[in-house]
Amino acid sequence: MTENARGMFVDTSVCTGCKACQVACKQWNEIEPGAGPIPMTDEKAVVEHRAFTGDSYDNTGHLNAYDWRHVKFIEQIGPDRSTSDRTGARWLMMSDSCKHCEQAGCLEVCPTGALYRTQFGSVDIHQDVCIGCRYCVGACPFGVIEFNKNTGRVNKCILCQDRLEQGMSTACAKACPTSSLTYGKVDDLKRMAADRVRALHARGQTDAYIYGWDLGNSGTITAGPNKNAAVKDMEVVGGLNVFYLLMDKPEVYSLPSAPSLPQRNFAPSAGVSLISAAVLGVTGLAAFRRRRMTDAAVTAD
Amino acid sequence: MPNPYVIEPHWANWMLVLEMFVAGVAAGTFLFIALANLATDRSKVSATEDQDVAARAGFVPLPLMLLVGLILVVDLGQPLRFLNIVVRSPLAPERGPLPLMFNSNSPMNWGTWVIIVFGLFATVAFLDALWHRRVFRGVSLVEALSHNPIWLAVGAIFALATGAYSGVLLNVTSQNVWGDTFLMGGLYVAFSALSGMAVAAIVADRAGARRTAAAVQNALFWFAAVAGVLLLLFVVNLAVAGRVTLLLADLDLLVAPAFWIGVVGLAILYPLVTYWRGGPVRVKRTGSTTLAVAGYDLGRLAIVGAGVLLGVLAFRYVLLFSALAAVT
Repeated sequence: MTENARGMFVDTSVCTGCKACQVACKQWNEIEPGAGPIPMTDEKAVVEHRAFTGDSYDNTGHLNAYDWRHVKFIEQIGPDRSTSDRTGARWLMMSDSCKHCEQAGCLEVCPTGALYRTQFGSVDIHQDVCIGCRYCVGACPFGVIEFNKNTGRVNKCILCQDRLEQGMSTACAKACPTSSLTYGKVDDLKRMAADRVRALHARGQTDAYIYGWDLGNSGTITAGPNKNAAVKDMEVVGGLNVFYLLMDKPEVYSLPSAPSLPQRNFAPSAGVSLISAAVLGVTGLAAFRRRRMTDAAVTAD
Repeated sequence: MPNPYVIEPHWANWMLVLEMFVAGVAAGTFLFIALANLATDRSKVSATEDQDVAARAGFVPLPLMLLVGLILVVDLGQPLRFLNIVVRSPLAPERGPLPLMFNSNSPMNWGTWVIIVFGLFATVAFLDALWHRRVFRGVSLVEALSHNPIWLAVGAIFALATGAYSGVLLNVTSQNVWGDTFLMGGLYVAFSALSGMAVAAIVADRAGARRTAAAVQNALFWFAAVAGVLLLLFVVNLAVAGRVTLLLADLDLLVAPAFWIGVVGLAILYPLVTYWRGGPVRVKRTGSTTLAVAGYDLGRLAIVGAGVLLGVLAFRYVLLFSALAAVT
């Protein structure tokens, strides 16, 4: 881990879904509007992230080039919403963004050096160096980074690099009214997270665990469709500088339970290519060598 | 089951299908040129035929590689930015020891340099083809290089790397199908070699070079067999990952029909079955180690070659669009 790495601890147990973080992010970074009053039935608009979901308080749907922060609304109410019985129903909220992975797939595949690790351990994009090849988009296992059709470059959360350089916290954390988002040194945040999980468990909220680092916690989900399922802390892709306290399985929050770096395929794929090339070379040579044709006249067809 | 956590990088488009197809054909054609020159028996009449067909095929790789460059630049939308992938931008935050850009973790950087170096070999092959046609005279270096075994062997290595590159690149992503296997580099190089031999089949047939056509027919059979084995392993690999239905059964984007008819039917089975049934070029043994062409259906080998090329085009489509099929 980068020495003195900065990051964020996202405590979903206190998120109210107010979207102040989403607004602060848009405002500080002067991000152009991506969504508009277009229904999800317009498939082209959905693909281009210009549509409101319209079926939830979650209007932007997912992270994209225009929404670097996204508050997820997970409604565990059951299929029949007309019934007045809300036993076991719950809403989970989570403010999501780039995780600024310790081993970042996007950064590793970038062919121009536009994506780079900052002095704060975060992953930033130099817009003037990016060529818009979109390799980072395909490489990110979390679906965070996206191509911006208006600029021809990619965008994602840059952990408010300009604010950090001035000794300030991120705009989203600054705006969060419930301290669901806390900015700080990752080491300090991990200690804070461990304390928070222990406190929740002591109150009987045994669902709580950490996604991003293994701090040794484990528990049991207390409500929702996965009730009684076991959960435990998980370190993913070498650790996340922006990590989460979750209350249900990662998949419920649209987070992969076992994300992997695309680079895991590099050496095996190159090896298979090498072996295949060797086999093709040998068979090709054999095909031509085998035909030691006589110079005798050829029989007529 | 599709991977719901990733964003598709908009690589699944016809421009890139064409780019990968064209690059593969160029690389495979150079492989044929190298094989024909390296393996031919210079004491036989067939050597003249081989070299004549190889020289004709020499017209193919360079224009196709120029087309590859054009497509890539057009796909990026902003031509000058392409330079950032070759020369380290003065604005790049992290400095390296060289002014050239090279990130060893990025298959795209490897591929860029491989393609650039391969372009040199393609250029020499093109000049040699002009020399044979007596369009281009002088520069004996070109003639010396284009038949030099070391030059040809090194060129063949770069041709194979060019063929494999985009498969490795797709493997090193988190995308559906592409990132679920590590066999795409092997598959890509096999189909690239197959498409090059298909071009050779058309050129040999049109040139009426029966002895060379016999060798090309042999090579087509073996390359189709290697590609078939790799394709089978690939399907098994995807089945283990739980994604095989996206490839074999998707009808929305016609991935499944293109796979069964184009890839399996045209690219693999067509040359295999043609060979098993005697093939357009029939050979007979004339001694313990010698063969002679006993019969030749003029035109049929070219048809097989064209069919294989169509199949390889379907392969490029299927592999690129299977990732998109997964999320529709």
